[in-house]
Amino acid sequence: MNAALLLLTACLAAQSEPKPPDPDAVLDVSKVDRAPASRDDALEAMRPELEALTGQPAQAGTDLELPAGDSVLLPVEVPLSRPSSGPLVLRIVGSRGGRFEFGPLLSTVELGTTSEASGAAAPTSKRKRHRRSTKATETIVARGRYLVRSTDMKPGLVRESANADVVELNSGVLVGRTRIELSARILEPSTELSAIEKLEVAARHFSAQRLEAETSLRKTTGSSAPLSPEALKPGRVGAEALQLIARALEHAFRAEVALTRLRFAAATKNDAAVEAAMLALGRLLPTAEVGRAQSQGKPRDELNAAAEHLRVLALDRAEVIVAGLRRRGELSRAELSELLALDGAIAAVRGQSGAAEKSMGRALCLDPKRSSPDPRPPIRTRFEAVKSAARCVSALHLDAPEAYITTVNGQSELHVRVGAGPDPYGVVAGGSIMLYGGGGGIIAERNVRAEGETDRVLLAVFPDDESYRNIEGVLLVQASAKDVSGVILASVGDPVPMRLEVGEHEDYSTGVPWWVWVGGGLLVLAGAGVATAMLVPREDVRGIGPIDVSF
Amino acid sequence: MRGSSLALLALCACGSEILRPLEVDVLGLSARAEIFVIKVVVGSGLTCDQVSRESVQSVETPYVSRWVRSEGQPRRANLPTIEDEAVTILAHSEDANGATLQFVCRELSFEEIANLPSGVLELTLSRREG
Repeated sequence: MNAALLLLTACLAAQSEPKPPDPDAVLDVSKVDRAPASRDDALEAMRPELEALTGQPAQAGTDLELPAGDSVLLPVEVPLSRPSSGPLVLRIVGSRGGRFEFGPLLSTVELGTTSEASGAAAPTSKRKRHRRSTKATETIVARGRYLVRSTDMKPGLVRESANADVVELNSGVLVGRTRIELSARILEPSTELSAIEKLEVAARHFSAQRLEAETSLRKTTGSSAPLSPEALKPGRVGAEALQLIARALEHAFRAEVALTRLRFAAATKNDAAVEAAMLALGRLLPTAEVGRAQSQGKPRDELNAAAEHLRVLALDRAEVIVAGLRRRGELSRAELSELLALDGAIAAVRGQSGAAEKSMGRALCLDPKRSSPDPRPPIRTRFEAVKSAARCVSALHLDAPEAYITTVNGQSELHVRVGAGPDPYGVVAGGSIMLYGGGGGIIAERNVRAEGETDRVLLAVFPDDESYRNIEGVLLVQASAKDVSGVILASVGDPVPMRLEVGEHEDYSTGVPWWVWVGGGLLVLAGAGVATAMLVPREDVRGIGPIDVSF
Repeated sequence: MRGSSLALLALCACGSEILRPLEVDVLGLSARAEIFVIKVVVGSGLTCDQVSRESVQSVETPYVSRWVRSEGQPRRANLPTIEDEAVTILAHSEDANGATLQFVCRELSFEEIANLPSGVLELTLSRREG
């Protein structure tokens, strides 16, 4: 009997050995963090450490201590109801309570025996096998290990139970079951920076490993169905596929352990740990494809939802909402400021400091008194840095419009110019300038793009037509500056259009009156040269740029 | 003195410089794309009819930005100001083997920038020819 058991154990051990990687396996390279070979080697060397971070082996017992979010690998022994000739696997089912999650680890088991006195009946005594003596019995047991992780941050003693089932791999027949009673003291999450750094490596590593296993699985089964624990039922698929499913799910579980531990570290009161964990999560968490993001709900509700997603670090969901709202253009100026602050916060967590500064700066230019959209670093620290730079001490506003007649290529034109600022972060994308008739109706309108750098300029060109002026010879002007989505940021002449005198032959296209240039030149050069130069027709040099591209 | 006068003459003849910043949003980047390249060709010498998905990689210009997915950089690019009233914008993606996956081309003038409806030039990458 013992020889038979040894043979069976050896058979199982041979089957449980991991298969060598298939050189022909096709990986979806866009989803895998590809690394040079030397880094792969380094990761392989780190594997025991990474596995320990996401499932430290431990002995089952009542004195188990587990940092919040952490996972342990525990042994379990399951008495079998009958001998089995095929390979067996262990799985954990039927857990309740919710403060522990049992890993979908479909581990192979080793067989052994336990001897007990015949009088001391264990709960599984029905499955005992009698030997020659009636004083002692020998029970066939399956020994395996299972992963379990704590799923919330609340410290204290937690008890939970589940069933450990031993199943024949090929037939799916249940041949043994025992009840696991798990008791563990949940501790504060770890805030060590070195651990946080390694957790990021672990999350990336196990995610890539999961993808690799999934790709091998697809190649084996020819199915592209999404992976789920439902597929992890022995007897339903072939043994090889089942091993791959189990491997993929274990990698996914370990990646989730690493992510959860980072999330918990980000929720502690240790600023350095919070910042490190937030930035790690920003690099790890999926990025939303926001190319065609649409927003449907009320702007206020959507803003609240985006803020909540940011709070729980569901960055991709927050990104979709922010992008959708940004495209809609139905926000008030205050709402746009809030949206830009959220956009900057997401960028800060993603480690995109330039984009974070730009969005936060824009938010502050619309509302210099705005506070950080989130109290955690790096959001708060980044926001305070932008605010303390004080590039927008006053809120963005429009200057009084100016109008003048100028000649371009021999043709007389009416130019209406409005300055918008301060706008060092370029929130003003364009605007509209409208001329009103004496009767109160709009007689001409131009939608223009903002030009200039720190202080933006809206410049509308109209034909030099006397009919644009009222009976007193003045223009009635209304102007508004808009962001890229059309939200009105500032306006003048609203609701009552401004009366505007028209100057003659002034050209403010550089933002500086001509006499400043000419006066400066006079101090240096001879007047005759200047006079000659002034007679030469002037032509504007036009250019495109800078060009900002997002994709 | 004579030289200075000529310099001033040239300076005043230049007039002022009006620049139009441009924001470009390229949509539809494939999840399989490992590399994204955007190029700007100055002037109206190159038209989109002359460029195809096969030939886009061979177009040479000093105004080019290249993004590699595995480097983890933000999905943004910045190109400097171009002193010309017309440009041709070319964007394409490549897979890990360097084969062109998607492509888009757009000719754009200084005037057109002011008339962009949302102020942003939206380009959609396509797998089709040209």
